[in-house]
Amino acid sequence: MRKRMLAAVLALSLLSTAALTGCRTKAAEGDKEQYLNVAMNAEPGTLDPSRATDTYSSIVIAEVEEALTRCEQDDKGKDVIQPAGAESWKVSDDGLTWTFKLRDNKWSDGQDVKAEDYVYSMMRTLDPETASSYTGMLNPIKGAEAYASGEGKAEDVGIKAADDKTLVFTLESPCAYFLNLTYFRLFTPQRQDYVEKYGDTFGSEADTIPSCGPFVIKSWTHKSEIVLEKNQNYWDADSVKLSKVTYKILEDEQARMNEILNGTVDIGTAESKEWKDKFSGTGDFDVISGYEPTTECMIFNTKDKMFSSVKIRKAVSAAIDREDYVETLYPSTRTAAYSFCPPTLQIGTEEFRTAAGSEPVRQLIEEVTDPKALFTEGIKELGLGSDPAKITLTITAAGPNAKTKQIAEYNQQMFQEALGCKVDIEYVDPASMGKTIGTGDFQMVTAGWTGDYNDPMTEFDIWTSHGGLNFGRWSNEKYDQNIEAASATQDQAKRLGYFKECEEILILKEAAIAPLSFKQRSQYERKYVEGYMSTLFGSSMELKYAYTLGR
Amino acid sequence: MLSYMLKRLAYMAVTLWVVITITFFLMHAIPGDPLSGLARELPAHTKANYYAKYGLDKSLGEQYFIYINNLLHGDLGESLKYPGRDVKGEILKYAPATARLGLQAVSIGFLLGSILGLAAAFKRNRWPDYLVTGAALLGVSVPSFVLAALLQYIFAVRNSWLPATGWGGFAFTILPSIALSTSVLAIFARVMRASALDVIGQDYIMTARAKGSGGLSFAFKHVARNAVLPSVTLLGPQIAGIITGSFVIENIFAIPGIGSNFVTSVFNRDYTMIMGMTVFYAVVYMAALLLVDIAYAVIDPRIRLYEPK
Repeated sequence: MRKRMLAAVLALSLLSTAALTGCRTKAAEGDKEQYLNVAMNAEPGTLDPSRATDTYSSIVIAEVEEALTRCEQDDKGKDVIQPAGAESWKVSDDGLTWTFKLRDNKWSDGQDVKAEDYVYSMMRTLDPETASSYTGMLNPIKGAEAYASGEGKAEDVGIKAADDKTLVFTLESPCAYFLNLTYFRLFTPQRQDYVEKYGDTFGSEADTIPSCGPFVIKSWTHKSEIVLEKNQNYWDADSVKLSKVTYKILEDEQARMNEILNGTVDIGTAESKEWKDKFSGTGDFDVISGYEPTTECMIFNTKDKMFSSVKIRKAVSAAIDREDYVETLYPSTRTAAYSFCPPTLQIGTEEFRTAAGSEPVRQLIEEVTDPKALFTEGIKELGLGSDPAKITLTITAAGPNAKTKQIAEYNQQMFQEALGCKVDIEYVDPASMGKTIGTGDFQMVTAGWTGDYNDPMTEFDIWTSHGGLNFGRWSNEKYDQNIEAASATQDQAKRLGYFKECEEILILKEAAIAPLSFKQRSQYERKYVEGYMSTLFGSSMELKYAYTLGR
Repeated sequence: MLSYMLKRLAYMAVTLWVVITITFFLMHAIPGDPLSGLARELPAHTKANYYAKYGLDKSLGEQYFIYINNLLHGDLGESLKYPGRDVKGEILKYAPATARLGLQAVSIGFLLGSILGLAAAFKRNRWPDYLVTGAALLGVSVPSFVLAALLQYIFAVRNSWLPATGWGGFAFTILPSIALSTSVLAIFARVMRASALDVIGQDYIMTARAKGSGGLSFAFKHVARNAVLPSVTLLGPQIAGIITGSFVIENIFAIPGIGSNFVTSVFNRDYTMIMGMTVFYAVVYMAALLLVDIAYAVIDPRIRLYEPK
């Protein structure tokens, strides 16, 4: 009975997803009053594109500023890059020079958007005085890293305005995913006069920042709501149907869910099975299900004596029953991960997982039929005796809070049963977690990684020997070579091969990390909402074409 | 009176300095810094740029003197978590919402609590007494966030009588004020009951009764006025505590106040915001205590704040 219920729910959600994609192409009539209320989980730090660090800032900036391109969805719901601030672009044969032709667009105060505004914006991000923490995103550009670190000069940075409407980038080396960066907030223009007038407060209040995107910022009541209005000066104003957008900042989950349920907000994200069931039960919602570009994995400290052994790492990874893991800890909000690069992430225009066609963790589980035996073998080789019961592994976790405690205790029990060893849990204050794992003061730790741009490079380059997030200090020559080779070519078929091999080395041959789960996205929108795009990257909540029909 | 006030203000300044100094060094003693909350490990040069911008690369002693110097010039600095937001401006802009909510809650709690406490004292060991003490126990033990969620569900989700979240007019303040006021109400009811019982047992009440006084005016004029003193003592800290905000209530009702800043700034290691909130809280608390002392003298003529010469 329960199974059939589940099947029914699944079928229902499939149907509504299909209905939704069907609606996208329908000719828009729409309600007379066009407005939308959207739930936002946290307060954006700032709307200054150079100094913002969180996703909520990105969501709003994408709606009020026009980056060179815009991340939209095709009729199958796949991310596609569309011309935005730039109407066209071309890349030189050697892949080093990118030329963007800008379209005629105006700022909300009527001034023309110029190529200089884009140059100024990116140079300000790189300027050490600005202290942006996102300069790394601009590293593919020639001279960018050197300038940001205070070693290079501003004039050597490969971002130039050839004329008012032409923007030219010179890259360090060919970058196959460069276009995937151009819809990111760092590629929006900024107005020098505003930055100079408002100084550090630029972007911290509604009136300190002019807009050139589909909407303008009408008001911003910190930690409460952000109101946007349609930008009449926008180049594509005809496509924008909403006259008002209100982001309600609801940091408390219970309150957020209540507001979705009672209809105060039209779009919001459900984070637990209980709420998903409740929303589906009302019949008032379309559900948008997909994946976040997020992988949760267990990182092993390969400089630790125990986890320097490949056998032990493989045994631990193979011992995890991933289906049971997600079923117990994240019912219907995550799926088991048998690979590292998450579903829906693309290489070129193809989904990486489909193109790669492999699931290395499944191979690992087939190979390691008896994790306990392999574990025992591993400890013998290390000279730690032959009795797993005398071995203690330590899991480091943030907190404890209810969730991290649940996860850590689940893992503790699972490893104790599967490997026959003892497992301790060490809790660290969340704010000093970064330092603890950054300095290598751990054995195993669970961490989530969310990609920055739509290319496997965003996933794989963190595990290179010099990767800043490679907390396990794992190092593999072949892996490093492959990543370098994949950076240097634009041939997507070759890059696919490199990444595929990297993934195999990372989680099968070397088991440097153990993928655990992929995070699913479940956004609920009222049935009358049309044209809303829940993109994987970019805004991730794209409202440019959204409207309501039958509110 | 003037010299008394000056003396009190001088004490307050010294206390404030001690509080600031202790907080400053304690805050820097906890591990982590504003960048450790970011999900990513930053390159060394990016970190260096950041520390240099906010003066975090200087020695702790130097940072302390810079902070004190800025503070004396009325500058509380820029928030580290929310770039571009001036801490002082942020507090002044969003404190009114928090204060309004707090004052409404304290008013409800104080007035209703005192009346209930008085009623319980007059009907001692009869059903109104049991009802009030029972309700007070419940009010103290049910956490405000449970009550908040319940109120939100009943009044805003099941029935759309009141807005569930947000800030905009009186209607928006009703649910959060009620959620905040229950614990205050419970405390005042208990305190009032105890001190009213004490007063009722006094000789002068017996005298007044013997002379034929009774009824409501008797209860308020003779009993309440004498019994309210302990409640007034409590009122100071209660007001200070509640107008500097409630993290949970503001979060649940999405109220643009400053209550959430106190807790989140510590989690985020937002140094300037932590200091700003500490200064603000300390000033409000001390001012409330001073007001309470003055109120004593008004309510009870036997209390003098200073020795008349």
